[in-house]
Amino acid sequence: MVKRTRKQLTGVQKKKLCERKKEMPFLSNSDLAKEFGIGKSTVQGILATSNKWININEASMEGTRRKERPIKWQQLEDALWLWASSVLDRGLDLTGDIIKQKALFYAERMGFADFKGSDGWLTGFKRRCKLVQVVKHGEAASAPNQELVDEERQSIQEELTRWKLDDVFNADETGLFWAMEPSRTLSDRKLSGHKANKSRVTVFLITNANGSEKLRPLVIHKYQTPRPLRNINKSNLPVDYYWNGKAYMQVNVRFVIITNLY
Amino acid sequence: MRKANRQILLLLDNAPVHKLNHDNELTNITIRFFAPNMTSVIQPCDAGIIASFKAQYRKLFIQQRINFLDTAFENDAGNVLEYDIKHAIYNIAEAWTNVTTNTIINCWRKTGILPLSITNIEEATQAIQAECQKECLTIQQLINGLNLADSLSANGK
Repeated sequence: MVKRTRKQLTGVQKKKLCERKKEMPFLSNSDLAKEFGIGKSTVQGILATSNKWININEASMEGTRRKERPIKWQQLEDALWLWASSVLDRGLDLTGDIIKQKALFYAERMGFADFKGSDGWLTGFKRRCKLVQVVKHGEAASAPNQELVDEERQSIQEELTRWKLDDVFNADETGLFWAMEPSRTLSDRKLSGHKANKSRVTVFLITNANGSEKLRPLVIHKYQTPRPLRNINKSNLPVDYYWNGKAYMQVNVRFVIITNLY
Repeated sequence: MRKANRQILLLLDNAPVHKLNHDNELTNITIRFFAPNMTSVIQPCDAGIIASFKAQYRKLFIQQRINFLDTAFENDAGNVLEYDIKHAIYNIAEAWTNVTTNTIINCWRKTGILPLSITNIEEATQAIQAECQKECLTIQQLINGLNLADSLSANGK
């Protein structure tokens, strides 16, 4: 007799086997065994847990894996997950290294001498807990909670009732990459990028609450007289031109603005 | 702005350099700082005024690129765009002029710091979005009109 090579079915295949038995109950285990190329007792084993196989999610890992490996340090992972989710609830950051360190701490407490906190374990743990790397977006989280915001709104609203909207101004600065080349370009060939032109100026904009007055924008550049502005009377420019080494807003510049407003 | 006897209120964010104690010397200006970390939500400039200004600037920048490319093709000149700080300064001034009064009013409303009813916030937010989309569309049309190998996205920062 030719020796049958060892064969393990994937979750999906086991599901198929169970479904087949359901559709055609008259098929014997040995018929099925021949059809799927496995042993008779294996068929018996699979059919015994038929409910489980029929209900598996084919798209998930359950569908493709051939062998179930129990989680080795279930107790540790349970504890770690509790800890991790409380960390996340508080809006703190979690990294792989942090998880590993904490896991080693639990392992010592629980007496798992063989636990090493390997990268392989970490990968598995992250997968089991559905922990994925995310990029933190925006600055919304540093905004205080809604109540505080509403309070502040209220208090400004109250203050504003004492003013005409004409006379209420808001000023803020922003960085402007004034010569930023497009990073995307339509092309039928591959292109290499140039070094991005990061020439930046700070622009300071002031306007009042009904938009009736927009003050001359204030531009802070790096140089007192860049070459393109040579022989140009800066007071003839359509903006207020200031300079300092970093093109940042600085105290003296700010003071000038406020006195200009004055 | 040096109008005599005019009292104004200036709302500023809480960036460290803004915290000056010149208040005493300023008799015509009352300065009020926004509470820490709230400016992204309640400062009108952040609510869309700056975004609108940058969109306008981008529009001018692109328009000039287009003009440049057109003339470069006609004259068979090189392909280095001459664009320096002087051009930028004029564009900044023009972009700021092009920010509409409507946009500014809507941005102020959106922040909810004006003594108005809450329903207006929704309205203003929608108005700003609609305006923004319109702006983007114009820019994108400009770009599409180019029909050249050099193009960029209207949403690019």
